[in-house]
Amino acid sequence: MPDVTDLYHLARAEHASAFAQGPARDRTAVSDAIYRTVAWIGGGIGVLVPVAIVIYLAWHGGSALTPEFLFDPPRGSSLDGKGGIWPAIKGSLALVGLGLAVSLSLGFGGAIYLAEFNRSAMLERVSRFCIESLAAVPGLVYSMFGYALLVVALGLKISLVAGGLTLGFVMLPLILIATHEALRAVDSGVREAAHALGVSHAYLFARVVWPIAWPAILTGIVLAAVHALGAAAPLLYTAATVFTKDTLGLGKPVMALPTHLYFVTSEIGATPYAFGTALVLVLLVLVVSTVALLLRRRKEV
Amino acid sequence: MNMPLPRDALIGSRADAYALEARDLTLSYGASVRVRSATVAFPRNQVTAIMGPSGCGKSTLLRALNRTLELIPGARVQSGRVLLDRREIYDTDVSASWVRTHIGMLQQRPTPFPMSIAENVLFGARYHGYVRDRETHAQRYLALVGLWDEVWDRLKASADTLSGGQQQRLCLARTLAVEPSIVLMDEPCSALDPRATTVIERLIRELKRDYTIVVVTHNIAQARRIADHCVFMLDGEVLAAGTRDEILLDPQDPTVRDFMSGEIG
Repeated sequence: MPDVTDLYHLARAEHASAFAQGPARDRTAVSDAIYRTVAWIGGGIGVLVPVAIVIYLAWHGGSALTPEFLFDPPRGSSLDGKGGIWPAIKGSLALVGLGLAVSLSLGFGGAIYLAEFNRSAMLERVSRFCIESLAAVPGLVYSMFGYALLVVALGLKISLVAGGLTLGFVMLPLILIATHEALRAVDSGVREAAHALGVSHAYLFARVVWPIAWPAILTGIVLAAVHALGAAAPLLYTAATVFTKDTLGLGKPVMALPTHLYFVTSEIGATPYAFGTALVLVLLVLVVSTVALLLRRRKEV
Repeated sequence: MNMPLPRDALIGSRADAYALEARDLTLSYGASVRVRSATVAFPRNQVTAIMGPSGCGKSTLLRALNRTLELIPGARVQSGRVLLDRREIYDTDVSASWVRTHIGMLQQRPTPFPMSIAENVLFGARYHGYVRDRETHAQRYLALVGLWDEVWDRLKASADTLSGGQQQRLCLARTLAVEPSIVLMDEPCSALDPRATTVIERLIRELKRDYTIVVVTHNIAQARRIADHCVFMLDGEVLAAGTRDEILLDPQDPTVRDFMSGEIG
């Protein structure tokens, strides 16, 4: 084995010869330039794609956005691109709201248990694996599951409540993972300091751990809600109807923006009416994200 | 309410603090024993420094003294006793919460909670119902750690706006506001600059009139400045314990002598 001093002298000699060759600025400058170019291209595409989508939709569907389009039900007896999309907007909001109620209670409960009470590393690994697998399940599979369990077995029929529960299952893993990660990321020293004051676990959780984790949890909730808002597949077999002028009801089928877009486009093609529907969906997503961002900003000050 | 409180009136006004004692204490994480048969006495109203190289078990021992060790998954007390003024803190009818209110703790890094300066101070005290008047309670303990003059005009500001040294004193005020008898400190100055360290060390020397203080440190110079008694640990065992001068100036154990002379660290 070489002596430590040998290694030291070897390193010194290498360093001296590198120094004699002059500054190696060219190499670092080239790699810096490559890195900068790749970063700009990647970042640029990331910004351009969503902006281009909004501009494209606004270009083709902007003219459709009239008060009647937003606040009237569709006219006629089938999808002919007349009238408005108000029932679909209402339906989407109701479905996501119902889904959030389900996924927040289950997701928070599971994440809080795993992060705060569970002491078995095995249970944590196994449940995280299952939840992460659940997050990767395609929407249509959720839809079939919702159909088999909720619509048929539990007799909920194709309805708002069946669709809302199915969207709840879609959001559950996203919310659970985000909440679990956020709670786990809270500095253990802060936890220990709070415990060391002799306060109860519930008190320190509510006043210290949760407020620290909240911004990250909120981000997770928004991502899940926005994902559910745009998901057509989970609703296809559980809640969606092509056309209804009826009021909202838990036991009744509903219209939703993404399924409406799907039906309209397959029925009458890419008309301003279809683009308008897509534009409303995207704007709704933007509004939800922006409100959440503002909420988070206010919380951080 | 911006009149500075006379700190002399605050210090030395309490009854004698309790003594703390570990007897034959063996602590383990999972299957590995971290502290073996440690017997140490921490005399009342004195500063005791627990010293030793990294990984010697000094922080583990400290956490067993106020039952925060049991928060760490896998960590447990295998055998032995910890006596708070002759009362066994691991008895089944003694709650961890009771132990922790009497034996407070200061972390290595400042750990401000996400709330205002005043609410930080009152966090534990309010839970235990010690706060009759918020303003005077907060003021009393901020003054005790010498922070009142620096923050009296921004009590509602977030604790994150304070400097590291101020945050550490805020955490000390938060611990003292629960009115413990004993304060454990885990390398309380290791994240601080020299000036903030000086302030904390001066506080430790003053506060021993009212509290029994146990400080974990691997800094010999710091132990010399603040400690009355020293405990030296290596590989989970207590190699030497005694007054500061016995351990620092005239160590009998050759390993302790090597550590003190800087041969090992």
